[in-house]
Amino acid sequence: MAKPRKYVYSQSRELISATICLVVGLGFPIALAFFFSPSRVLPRLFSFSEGVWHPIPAPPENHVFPQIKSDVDIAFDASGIPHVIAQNQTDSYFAQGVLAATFRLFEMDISTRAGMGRLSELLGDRTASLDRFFVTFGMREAIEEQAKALLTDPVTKDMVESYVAGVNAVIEDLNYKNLPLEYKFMGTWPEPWTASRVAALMKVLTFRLAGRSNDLRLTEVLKRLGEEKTNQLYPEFLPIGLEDYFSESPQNTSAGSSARKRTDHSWKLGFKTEIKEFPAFLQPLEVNGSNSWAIGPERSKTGASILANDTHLSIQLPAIWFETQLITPEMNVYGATFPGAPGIVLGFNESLAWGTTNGATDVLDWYEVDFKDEKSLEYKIGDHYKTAKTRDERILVRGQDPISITVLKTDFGVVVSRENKLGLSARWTGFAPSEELKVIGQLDTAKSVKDCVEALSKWRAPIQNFTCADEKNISIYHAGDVPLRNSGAGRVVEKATEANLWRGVIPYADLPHEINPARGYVLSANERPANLSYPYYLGWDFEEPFRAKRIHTHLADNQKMDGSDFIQMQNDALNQHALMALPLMLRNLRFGAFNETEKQIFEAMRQWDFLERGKSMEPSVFDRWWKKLETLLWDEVTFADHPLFPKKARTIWFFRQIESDPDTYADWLKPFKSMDEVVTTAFREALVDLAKEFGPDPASWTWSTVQETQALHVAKFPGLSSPKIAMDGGAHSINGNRGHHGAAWKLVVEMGPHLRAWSQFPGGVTGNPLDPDYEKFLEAWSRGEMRPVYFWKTAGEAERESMYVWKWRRQ
Amino acid sequence: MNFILALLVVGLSLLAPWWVILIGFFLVGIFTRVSWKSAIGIALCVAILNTFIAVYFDYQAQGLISQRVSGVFYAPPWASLALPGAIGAWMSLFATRFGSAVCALIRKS
Repeated sequence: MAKPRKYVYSQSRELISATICLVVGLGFPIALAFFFSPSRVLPRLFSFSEGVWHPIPAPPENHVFPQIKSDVDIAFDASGIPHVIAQNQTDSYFAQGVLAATFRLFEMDISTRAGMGRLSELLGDRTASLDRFFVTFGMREAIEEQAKALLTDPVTKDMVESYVAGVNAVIEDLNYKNLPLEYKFMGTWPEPWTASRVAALMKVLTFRLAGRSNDLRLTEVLKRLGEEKTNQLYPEFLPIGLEDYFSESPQNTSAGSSARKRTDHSWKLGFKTEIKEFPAFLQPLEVNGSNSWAIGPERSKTGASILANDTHLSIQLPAIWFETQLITPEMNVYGATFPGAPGIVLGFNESLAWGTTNGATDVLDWYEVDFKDEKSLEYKIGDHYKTAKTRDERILVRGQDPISITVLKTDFGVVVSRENKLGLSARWTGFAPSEELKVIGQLDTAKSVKDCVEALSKWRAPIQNFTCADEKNISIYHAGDVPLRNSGAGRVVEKATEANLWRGVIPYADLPHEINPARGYVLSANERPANLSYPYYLGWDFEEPFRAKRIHTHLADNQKMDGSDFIQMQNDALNQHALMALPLMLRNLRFGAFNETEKQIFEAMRQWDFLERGKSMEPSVFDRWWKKLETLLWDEVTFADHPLFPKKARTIWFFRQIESDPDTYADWLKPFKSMDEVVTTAFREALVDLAKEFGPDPASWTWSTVQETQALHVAKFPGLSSPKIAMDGGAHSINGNRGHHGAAWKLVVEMGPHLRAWSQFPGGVTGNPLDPDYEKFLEAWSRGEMRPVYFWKTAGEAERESMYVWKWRRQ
Repeated sequence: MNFILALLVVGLSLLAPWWVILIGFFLVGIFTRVSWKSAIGIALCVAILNTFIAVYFDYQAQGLISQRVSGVFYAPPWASLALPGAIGAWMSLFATRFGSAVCALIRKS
């Protein structure tokens, strides 16, 4: 009896064991995967054979690429920058594609998906509103049209197809082991690259640079304050003695004589839209600043022109720019490009250097469109109705239901929202297909400033200030399409009438520019490029003129300069805004009732040299004091989530007016009675806020603590961003640092027979977060150090001086 | 014997994906018919060996793996080093024991 019982018991025990093993062993991971989605990717991610433990995949070192026409070498210099040595341009663009995909595939994917409204497919609902915005804005159609245009022109067709083939050669070669880390985290795989992706990159960059508009905010201000006060606070010009315009605006040229003369610069804010609410996703983008200047040979210690450029964009990891040199028999160009598209966007060749700053001109207008009824597609134009074109779009959202959107297109642009019978439409120069890639190709091979100016005549968008320098000449050109509008239109939401339709663009010759000006230098820091006598409307919301003023001061004060002087200038952390505003603020402080700490800080501020050093406390106090002052002073325009303060330069102007004529402007100070009351209250409240946030000891309020600088990962993956960096500079110093935004690429080039150049960017060549070189140049960049550029003039020189070479063969 | 078999399977994990290892542990269970106690012993060996391997790889990568990968999941750096051990131990425990139970059931029937 006992034996069978033991047998039965043993069988059931094993059965229970097997069941437990199945249920717990499999059930727990399945349940975990159900409730905690990252656990779906964890086992493979942590597999020793293919997971994260082999962080640096084998590079395409000695690779066979049947797609190339001749052998291609990739020579790496001492800084690890790749130099492409190809026998023809087609192969050089192919190689550029391979390099971009090898080092930056995920970054390329993310940045192009943004424009296509396809981020949420990968990242889930956290990016759904961004996708919704771009799709509603009509970007998908714009991208399709751009891709068609790229493949129609034989020059861009060759560039794009070669580049795309290079990217796809890498994608086809991918396996889980060498898949970029971010895809492993998400459990997804990159799609093949296409011309549409190249077009998407162009459009998304155009939007980032020229899609910014405060017109909707200004419309809200107008509704609240009325025309007179709005005119007072937001004038087209900021007359505070900082202006430094391009001299060859059409008022000084023959082209200008035929232009429509504009005598009235006052605001035409008569139309007040009845649209009550603007969609929340239409908040304006962050300001994108940049600096660029050049001196002619007469001002140069080397006897040849010198150019400097630092583009202020997102400080991110992987870095937004990819630095490389392309050497072919027809072309030898060094510079920076955006991973995802071919060519060198900014840089230099043996004869020409060029840089850009963002034009900041108003190229986006909003209209109130009258529809027949709430649901109708027919909208009023003149005395008749026209049917809007529709396009159905779907946004896929990971883990959620797709979002369906119908995009409406009218003669007044894309309708982004509807309210009863009214629609809000956006018309933007960036929607049209353009030829930037072709222009970039021409700049890469240009031989002179004349070639540069000629090439830029085809530049449409984003509107940029191009600084060019050859050995003997310099120029700056505000290049791109600027719409010709009805007088006074373009600043707030306008009625959709025929009179308000754009009437073409400002002729190229009439755009603000300077070629070899008498003063011997050209410069731009996103400030307004033309003065009051300029006959066309350009915009009202240019960058504050402080950085430009500081650059101008440096260039005017130094008769002869060289590359090292330019590098020093790029690191200049003097806050020009503080230089102008702080004396006014200190003068209006009532320090009678100050406590000891307040007195100490007042004394420190009085002695501050206006340099925004990372270790100093004074920049933090000034920053917070100013912000508090704006909030107190401009409470009329402090909307719940998006204040539209007047320009800082305008506030300084206001300070000056109130000092000289307090009665006239007293109304603006309410509920305060005097300027010193506002200034003193702001000072005290700022110190209280700083103490609350950073502790009572003012020594802990260092600038790098208050304004944290950090390179965030491109998809904001936690853990893949850089640590916080202590660095100098601020929004209104030449060393433009806004925390997550700053000099994303810096270049200084001494032209001439002894061409020398220096560059720097915050990040590394590789975009692999597990590669120690991921943040390679970040620290040196934060200290303002530049790397000497290895500009190799021949393939032989490149082979000799390189650290190592990848050799790609056709077979 | 059990430990040697576990060592072999862990060694295999350097070359093969997890599902191969899973089958490996299942086969170990089939051939050795381990008790729960032995299975726990094997799992502990696997956990320790896998953690050592993870620490070694992370050391080779200058600590970036633990730092970056854990950061993505808001976890402390040691979490990613412990995970291969945890996954391996979990798999070995249930796969070997399941293999043993299946083997026993087949034999008894």
